[in-house]
Amino acid sequence: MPRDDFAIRVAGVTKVYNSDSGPVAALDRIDLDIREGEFVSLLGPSGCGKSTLLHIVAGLTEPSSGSVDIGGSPAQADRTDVSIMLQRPVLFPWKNVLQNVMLPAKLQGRADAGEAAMHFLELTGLADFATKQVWELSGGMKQRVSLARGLATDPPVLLMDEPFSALDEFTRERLNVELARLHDEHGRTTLFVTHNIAEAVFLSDRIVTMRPRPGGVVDIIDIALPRPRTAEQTTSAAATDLALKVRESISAYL
Amino acid sequence: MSSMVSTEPGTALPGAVATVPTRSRTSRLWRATWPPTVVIVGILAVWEAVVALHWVNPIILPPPSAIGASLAGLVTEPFFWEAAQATMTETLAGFLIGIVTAWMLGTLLGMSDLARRALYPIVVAFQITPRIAFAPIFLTWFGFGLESKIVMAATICFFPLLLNVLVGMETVDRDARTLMRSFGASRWQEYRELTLPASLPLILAGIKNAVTLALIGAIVAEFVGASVGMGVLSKTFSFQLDVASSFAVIIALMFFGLVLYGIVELIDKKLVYWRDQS
Repeated sequence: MPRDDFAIRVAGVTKVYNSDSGPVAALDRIDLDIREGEFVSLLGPSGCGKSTLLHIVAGLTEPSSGSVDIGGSPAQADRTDVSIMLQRPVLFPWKNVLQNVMLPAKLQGRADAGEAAMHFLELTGLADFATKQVWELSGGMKQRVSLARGLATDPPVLLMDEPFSALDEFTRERLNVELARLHDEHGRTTLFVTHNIAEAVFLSDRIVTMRPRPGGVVDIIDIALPRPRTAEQTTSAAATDLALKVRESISAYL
Repeated sequence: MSSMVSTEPGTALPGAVATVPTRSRTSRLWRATWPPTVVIVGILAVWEAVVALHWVNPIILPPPSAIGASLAGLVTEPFFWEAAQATMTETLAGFLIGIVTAWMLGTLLGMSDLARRALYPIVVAFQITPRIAFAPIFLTWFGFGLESKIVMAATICFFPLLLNVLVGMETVDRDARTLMRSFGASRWQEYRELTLPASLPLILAGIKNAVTLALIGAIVAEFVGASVGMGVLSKTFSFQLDVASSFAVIIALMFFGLVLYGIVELIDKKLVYWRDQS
């Protein structure tokens, strides 16, 4: 397989919602190319359409015009090679941790759903929690289970919609470190929505800064920090400079 | 008095020390049962005294002791068990027919937006209508036998459960639906893995309601016209001014209702084990 098999190409995507006070442009002619294995963050103030763009890439929302291609075929909600993780963990309380994680693979009729789920529970440090009920877990653990579920079908493309924004700062940092490690090890093409600059700098290869009304791209900033990423890097001079640069690009819209 | 609040082990209240480790099932059971027990015993004592003091005519309001004696006598009579069996058959058959049809129709309506919009107002209209008013019509249609009572019991518990099934399906978490779409779940998979379990708490609540409604339906239908049943028994005793026996029948019905409700409650606890956690 060629390495650009799971590149994402967003071409001229516009999204217009009809509101009571007339049409509102949530996204205005977005063009974006994400290379295979690249980690790209969409960052901006609320209302900039970053979540809408992610949902369009996921095939969950139809663009008003333009197109999204993943690995050469159009975005579609039920693609098994693309996995989405939401802001809330959305675990099913009638299933235990393992059953939650294996659900996507099970729906795809994969015989090895259980083993695959166990593998990703181990990767996310949840092996001992497989038979726990989800209500026994803390918020951070729940989101970790959600991450394991997103990975359980071993998708080449991972879409994440502010997955850690509801967590406390320390839990968020720990999960960021783990996500960075998983990315360094497996190199999935990842599109990550966040409004946290430090988080975006720590995780990303590139950050797409966005502005609201109408939602559009302000700048695309390369994050040339060495990989593998470590927690110590968050306070390095290079990371701080990049964070400032990111902040400046959107400061007019805050 | 200061020694009473001492925290030293040797001087603490003797009773408190003993109950701390065993503050488990028995103590919780006791905590739950003693207040209603006190109230019930109090009411029965006042009731008994009021009649004994001839403040009320015992024919109009027989004392609890007389009701107890009537009940003790009734349960030895074959006609009582014949009546109980008839009423229980009507209630259970009506209940089962009512909940199965309500669940099936509710699920079908919940799956089709057009069908739901078309039938929802009609369901609400029937929900608001006092359905027991249908009892005379059902008597005309289905006769004096068990059938008219079964239909009444089924009708009375059908609509509330249908509404619960519909509401349960509508209130499924939107993010969860989004995820199921992204997993590529088929309609049937989405129903089995998400919609059904997510709406189960409301459905079971509806079923708990339905079991008591079914009993009401059966009794009312018996009042309207029947030859056998607890409703018939209660009515007959009242006409004979045997109010004590009439009360005894009501006590027996209360007991049946409790048993039925308890069974559904048990099923609910087993089936929706996550209810209190989420």
